[in-house]
Amino acid sequence: LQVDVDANGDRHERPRSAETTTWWFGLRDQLLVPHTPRAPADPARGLVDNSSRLSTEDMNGIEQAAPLKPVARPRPYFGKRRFAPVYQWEGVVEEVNGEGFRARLHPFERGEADPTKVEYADFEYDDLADDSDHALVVEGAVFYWTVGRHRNEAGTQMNTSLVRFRRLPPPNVRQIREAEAEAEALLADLRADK
Amino acid sequence: MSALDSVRLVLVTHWDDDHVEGVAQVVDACATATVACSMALDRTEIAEFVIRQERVTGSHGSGVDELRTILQKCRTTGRLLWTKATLPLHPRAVSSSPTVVALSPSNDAVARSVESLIEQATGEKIAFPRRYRAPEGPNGASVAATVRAGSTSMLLGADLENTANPKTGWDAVLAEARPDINASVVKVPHHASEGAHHEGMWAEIVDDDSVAIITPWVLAGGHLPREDDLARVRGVAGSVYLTAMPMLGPAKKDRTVEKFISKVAGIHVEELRGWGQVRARRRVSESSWRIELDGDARVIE
Repeated sequence: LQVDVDANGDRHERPRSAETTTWWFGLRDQLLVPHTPRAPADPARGLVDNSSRLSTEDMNGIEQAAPLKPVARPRPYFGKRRFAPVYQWEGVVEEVNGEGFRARLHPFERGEADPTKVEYADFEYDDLADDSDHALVVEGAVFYWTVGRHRNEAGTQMNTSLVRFRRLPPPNVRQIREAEAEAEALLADLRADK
Repeated sequence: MSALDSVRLVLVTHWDDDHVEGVAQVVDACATATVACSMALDRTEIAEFVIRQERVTGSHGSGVDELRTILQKCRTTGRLLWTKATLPLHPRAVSSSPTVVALSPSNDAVARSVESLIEQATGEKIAFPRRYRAPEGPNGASVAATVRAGSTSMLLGADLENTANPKTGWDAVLAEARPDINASVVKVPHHASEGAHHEGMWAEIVDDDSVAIITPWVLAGGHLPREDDLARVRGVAGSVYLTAMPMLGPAKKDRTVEKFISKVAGIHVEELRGWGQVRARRRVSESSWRIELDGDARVIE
């Protein structure tokens, strides 16, 4: 703010003007960062000699240069991450309450649920592997419970319990029509005198 | 000829897990027996539902598989008999003995049962027109029946209960299908629950000195009969038998699996224990029943 004082000693403020201050950024093609000498090659630090002498001063040179490939540091290999089930059940929700649900369980034997073996257990919503399964917890819903060992990519083994609900797509129009036709044929056969 | 070939009738009372699980195997084993099913199941909606379950979802694990298997097994043999109140189940030609006659479901129960049958038997939510809804569910459509040989008769109560609608349940049996019998053996309706106890049934069609056989039920922490149910039946029957004393105990597993279940999952897995059978036998010429108990079956003193 500039103030002028007249002959009577009164103070007058000068109006602000864009022209009163000038900012200077230099010429458009002037380098903001001056060119610095290349760092010496040091493979131990991952630095290589820039033999192509590429520089941001020469954009055409960059476009013509062969692309550089990133190099990943080798990591120790602990094996693929995997889940080894120890035991598995197919469950059917029998009763839903405020904190969870009670279910009838059929243990898996030789790859499929054994309907002749029936067990029961109470589950809490916290036992669900995915929060989105909460909406699927209704009487009659089918789910799978697996206990086993999970190994992550770093090789750490964890004992795990997984409760996942079955998700099924709704039947399409063709499937519904086929089921209707089959139902009519089935009942016609059953009602026929034989 | 195997002993199973002499089985004349398999009565599938209604579509509830505790009454249909394993029944497809029974139907398969009793190859010459007539298979009687509630007429409430003779609906396109039901057949369509079980077929769609097979094609789209595969195994359902809640009695749907049993029903579908029975329907398919009976498709070409003519063994299936849709039944409702007053229809003879055996023999299908009149006037030989013994005779088996259905007491339920009533016409009203058949007409309104479809939606609740599917919903309550499977948990699947559906939306049929309201006229199909029967609040009594699968039990309201169950087949109670009488067996009569000479002057001896039995009452098979299925899971038929009392309802607010006088055209269904035990009220309908006494009003529309009342059998002229004095049953000396009763399969007590619906696990002897209070809701299935009908004073008229016990007073009008059951003998005062009857043998009452109760089949217990356990589900989701609930159970039937309770102490007061046993006392109630004890008050109207001559003797009371229980086919089993079911209880839940820890499921036996491999030690590694048990460690996972308890320490990792923190879940207690239980199994149902206690199975048994009450067999009542009597020749037509005899005056009393011989009761044989098997497994955990017991008499209620």
